[in-house]
Amino acid sequence: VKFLRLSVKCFRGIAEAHIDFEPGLNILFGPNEAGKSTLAEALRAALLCRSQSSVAEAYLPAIGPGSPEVSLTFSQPDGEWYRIGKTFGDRPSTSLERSPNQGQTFVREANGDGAETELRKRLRWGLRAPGGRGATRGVESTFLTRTLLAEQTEVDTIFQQGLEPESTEQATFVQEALAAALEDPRFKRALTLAHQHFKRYFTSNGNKTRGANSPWTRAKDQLNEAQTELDAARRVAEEVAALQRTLLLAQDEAAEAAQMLEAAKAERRTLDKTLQAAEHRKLLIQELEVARADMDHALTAQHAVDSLRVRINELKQTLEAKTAEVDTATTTHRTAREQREVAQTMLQCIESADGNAQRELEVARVEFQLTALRHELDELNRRMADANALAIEERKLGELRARIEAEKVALTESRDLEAKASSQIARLRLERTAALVRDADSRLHTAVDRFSSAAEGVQAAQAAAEQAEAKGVEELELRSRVLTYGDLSADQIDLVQRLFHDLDKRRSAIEAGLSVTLERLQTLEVGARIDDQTAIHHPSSTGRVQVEAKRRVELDLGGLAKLQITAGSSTARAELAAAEVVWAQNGQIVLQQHGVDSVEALQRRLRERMEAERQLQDIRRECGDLSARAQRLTSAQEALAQAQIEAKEAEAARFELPPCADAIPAASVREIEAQLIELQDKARKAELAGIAVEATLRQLGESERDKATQIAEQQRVLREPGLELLTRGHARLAAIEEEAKSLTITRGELKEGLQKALRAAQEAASKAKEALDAAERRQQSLGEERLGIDRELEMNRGRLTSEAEHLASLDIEGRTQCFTNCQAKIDAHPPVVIDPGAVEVADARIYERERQVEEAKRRVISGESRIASSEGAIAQERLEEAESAYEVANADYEANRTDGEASKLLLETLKEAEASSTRHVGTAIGGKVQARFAELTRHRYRGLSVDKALVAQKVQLGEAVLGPGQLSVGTRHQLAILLRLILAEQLGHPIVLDDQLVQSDPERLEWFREQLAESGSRTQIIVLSCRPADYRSPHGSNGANLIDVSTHVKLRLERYPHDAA
Amino acid sequence: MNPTGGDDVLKILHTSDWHLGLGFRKYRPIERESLRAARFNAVDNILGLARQHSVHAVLVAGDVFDDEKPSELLWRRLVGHLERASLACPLVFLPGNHDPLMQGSVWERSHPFCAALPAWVHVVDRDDFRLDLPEGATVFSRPTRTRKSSIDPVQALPPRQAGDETIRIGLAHGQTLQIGDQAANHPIDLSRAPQRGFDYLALGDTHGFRNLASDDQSPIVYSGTPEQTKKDEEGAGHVALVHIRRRSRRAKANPLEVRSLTWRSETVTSLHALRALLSEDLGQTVLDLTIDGAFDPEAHQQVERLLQDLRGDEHTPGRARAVSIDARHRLDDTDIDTLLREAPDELRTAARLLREKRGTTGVEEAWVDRALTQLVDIARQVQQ
Repeated sequence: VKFLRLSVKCFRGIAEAHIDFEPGLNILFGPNEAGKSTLAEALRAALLCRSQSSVAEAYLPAIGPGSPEVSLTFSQPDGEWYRIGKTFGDRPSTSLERSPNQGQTFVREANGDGAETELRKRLRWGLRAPGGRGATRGVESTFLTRTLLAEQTEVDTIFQQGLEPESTEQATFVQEALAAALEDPRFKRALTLAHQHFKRYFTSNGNKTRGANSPWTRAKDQLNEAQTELDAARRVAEEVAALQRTLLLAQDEAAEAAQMLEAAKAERRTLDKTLQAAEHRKLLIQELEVARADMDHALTAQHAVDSLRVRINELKQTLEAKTAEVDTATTTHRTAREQREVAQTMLQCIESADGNAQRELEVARVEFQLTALRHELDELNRRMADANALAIEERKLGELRARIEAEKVALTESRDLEAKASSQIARLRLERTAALVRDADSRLHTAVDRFSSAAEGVQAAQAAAEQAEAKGVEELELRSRVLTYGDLSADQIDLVQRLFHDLDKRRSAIEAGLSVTLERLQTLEVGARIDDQTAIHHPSSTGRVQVEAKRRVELDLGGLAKLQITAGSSTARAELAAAEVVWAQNGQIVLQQHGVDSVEALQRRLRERMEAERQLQDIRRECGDLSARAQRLTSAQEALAQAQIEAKEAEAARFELPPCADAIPAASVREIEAQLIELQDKARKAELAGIAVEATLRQLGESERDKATQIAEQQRVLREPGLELLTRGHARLAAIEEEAKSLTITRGELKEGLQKALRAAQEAASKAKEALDAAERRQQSLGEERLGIDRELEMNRGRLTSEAEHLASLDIEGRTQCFTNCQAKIDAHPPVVIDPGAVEVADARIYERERQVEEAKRRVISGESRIASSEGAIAQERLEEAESAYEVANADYEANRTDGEASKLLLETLKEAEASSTRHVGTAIGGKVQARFAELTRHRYRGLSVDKALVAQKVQLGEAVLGPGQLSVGTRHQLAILLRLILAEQLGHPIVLDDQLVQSDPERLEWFREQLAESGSRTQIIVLSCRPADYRSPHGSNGANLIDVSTHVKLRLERYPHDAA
Repeated sequence: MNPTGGDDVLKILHTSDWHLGLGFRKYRPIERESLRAARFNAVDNILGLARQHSVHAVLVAGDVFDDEKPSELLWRRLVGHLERASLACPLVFLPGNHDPLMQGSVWERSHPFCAALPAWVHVVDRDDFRLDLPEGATVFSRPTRTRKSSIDPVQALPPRQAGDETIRIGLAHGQTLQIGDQAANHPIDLSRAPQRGFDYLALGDTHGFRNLASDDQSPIVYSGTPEQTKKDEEGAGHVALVHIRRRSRRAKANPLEVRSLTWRSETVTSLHALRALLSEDLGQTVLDLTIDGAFDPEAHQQVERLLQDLRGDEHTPGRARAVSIDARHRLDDTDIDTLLREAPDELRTAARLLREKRGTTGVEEAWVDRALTQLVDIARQVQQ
């Protein structure tokens, strides 16, 4: 609201006045009683006092007639002009006019209380309704009237009474006005921004926006589009997957059907096999029957043959028994005859033989001992031969053994005779023995001679053994030498030698050629440049080359002869290099291989090697002979073993000699026998050792006698006990000779025995004749029996032959085997039970399975075809893409939703914050007042607190808290004016300050002057003062509208001076 | 005539999997179009390389289009590129499993696309396809007629006859590997492939360049896609330049890079890292960005602005060629009062009230975070 013009007539002391206000600061000045306060009173009357009010009487002019009239023109924020006119007095009236044309003309809006009511609506100052109960009778007084239009004396009544809570209109107006005014513009802008953001998403009634520009629509459309694509892709993918599943199912079914078909076929094959097995078994049973018949037939034939064979064997046995009996009878007959003849012969010669018989006997015994000794000697010889591999001795020993064998045979024969003589006819035996003794005697001499020669042989064998040993050692040495020289051959030596000579020759040629060259060069050196004297003085190979190179440059000086020499030297050197290479590759290696440093040493080695090889060959030949002899020795040893057996038999027979033999002292004989046994044992051991030596020798011969040295040592070890045994053999021979002499002494005793034996032989001869007769008879009867058996035997053999032929044709084993095989086959094929309808069932099943397989295959092909025509793998790719797109669209939609909901939430929250701030408007306006008050008081006061009723409650002065009443009058007035001024600014309504700063000091007055000028830019201020300098800036009008009251107001005193007087 | 001027080498440019018209549905429409355009750039690069190296033939081993029925706009665009290239050597298109030769396919002879193709462009549209090249060389191929098949496409090609000493080049489209639990589609048995007697086997389907043959075998090569189609396609972005010796028939394939785009996956957890990333030139980059970590409201707000800058809007391309953002970052509102110390009281009050609403019924955590971010942004604006 802005006051525009105030017209007063007949109002108290003013006769007439017209004041035009400006929008800002208006200063009405004039001296005291110029009518300033009356104008203020008229202004309050125009706005706050009903024309009919009783208090209007105070407005009546004190002088002169007339009814008070006031008229105030004001404008509203909407630009409308209004004019309120009131006439007080006898005919009170009120009118409210509106000017549609900025005051040129006015149109009446309302009259009376209607005008009052309308005015109240325009002002919204909380004025009570005019008239009626409870209406104010005088000038209305509200918080705002006190704030804006306070009388001069009511400057600080604002501290006493605040905003009435019951005055809803006024409170609302103030609240709204203050809230709007106090609102931070940044917050307002913030609210605007938040609201703008909110409006993108929501309408004013909170619904989501719609239409093409709505973010909801766009996001939803995108999401729907993505969803549609995703659904389509899913459908396609599911269709493909379903096709795939169908195909897999069909494939599984096909596989299962094929498997079932195979099972049915397998079952059918099993059935076929069973049928075949049954058929086969039937055939086998038939075969078995045939085989059994064949076998029975063959067994019957076999049985017949066996019976015949048994019979033939019985006959044979019987025949053999009869034949044996015949033979026995014949032998008995012949023996009896021979015995009789021998007995007769022996009876005739026994007389002449008895002298020698005993000696013969003794000689025979000695010969036994000699035989044992010879065995011993043989053993020794064999051991010698085995050890030394002496074939000569072995051969001699073999011969000796042969002779001994012959002797032994003879001795055995004599012993036979002696035995026969002892058992049958003692006499005959004695005579025979005597003859044998004579022969033995002579043989003994021979044996002694041979023994001597054998001893000589043994000695020779020893010598040969030593020689063989020496040969063995020599062979070893030779062999070692040959091995050392390796496979060095004459060709190699020849090659090495030739190479070496060639090398040597070339070296010599070069040496010679070079010497000549150097000599010539030195003679030609006059005038030639010699750069390398060292090379000349030290003609090493490098030096020579260098010299040669330099000389080649000097050819012109050297002439043709030098060139040739140089050329020849080069050729020779090249050849030498080639020869050296050949030598290094072929000759030098051979020397290195044989560890020698010269060709001469190599030649010497070759000669030694060839000699050693020759000797080795000789030795090998001898060793070959020895091996052959060793083989012969083996056969001789076998014969000797036989002779030993026979000797033992003879020895055994010797103890069965008649008592005449016992004339020899038994103890002596036993001792000799014991010695003989001992010698035999030793000889056997020596023989075994000889065999071992022989085997060793043979091995040596075969393995080229690698271990000759070791064997020679063994030979030496074995020879020593052999020599010892030989010595002991000689001693034993002498003892036996002594024993033979003593045996001769007992010859007489033997003769007596022989005579006794002669008598017994005569008796035996007669008994033998009787036996001869009985034997002839028995022989005759046995011959007859044997003839009968022979006939039966012949007959059975004929039958057996025919039966055997028949049996052979039957092949009984084959038939038996055939039967067994048949039986085994039948056992392997147990009887089977076959359902006659099974084959038909199996065939039907196969047919059914085949049909199922075909059906499944058709489904598989159909499935494959459908899949081939489908999207296939692309469906999955597109599904993934659609899913991805949907995720993005959904994320966008969610982000959009979040943004929209957040904008809504924010706007709501901002309003809540705003509401919270409005409830504390007193505090807020207090802050503004406080700021200016602090500035006014140079920050002496702070912490001004204003309550919700806009009543200042307290202010801080230092630490003290003061109420407004505790302030000084001037300060209190200043604080009140500040509060009112700020409220007026916030409300936008004019404020009237009726000289209310009279209590202010110049400094604060000065501050207020500036403050009013500033506030005048925001609201209309009407200052009434008798001291215009207080409000007017010394530097100018400071924008204020200065109104000299005295020029605008016509006082009644001027019109009615007498009245005043 | 031998375009190389030499007499010992046959040169082939082998490529595949152009996937023209690929959806890129994950990206915004403006980015999709940009990515699709890049594939045509790759085609231009390939045709340029063919001219530059004076090759004897260009073989495209399937999946030229991402679908067998591309839009007319798309196939006319390809025709335009081919016409502008105007190669002197033949170019062979093999239908792949993405664009098989089936009813209604772009490869059908009756299709206007085939009629519009230049004369030097050949389409493998019959089972006994063969194309004679210089030096007595021959290309053998057979069209892919289904999207899915269990038939080995290499084994379907004719084998080398006894006594045949010519250069034989096989062209096929299929998989040599089983992917996941699914059987390989159009499976190629590598152990049997050499038995067909090809001096060079040009394959398509796999998007990364690789030679599957051992050193002593003739090359069996996937050229790969010339332009990556999605992230993590190792070896993509190449074509194979093949040299074949005339006498020994020894072939060697070298990869040549033709791609113009780089696919990157980045995770940033700080404002600094994000700024560093955005300071780079990302114009040819397809960025897969993950934002993680906790940011105070101011940093959070800056992150949001940077992301907006990176992303662009509906009509304006962002900083990168295409971008997908996985925003997992959280708001750290610990210091929000400090940030708002100069702001009107009501804003501080509002911040307090918002934090008090966190966890209350009907209010999602993300809403509070977002509202606080908006509040800080508003405070910043009103304080300016």
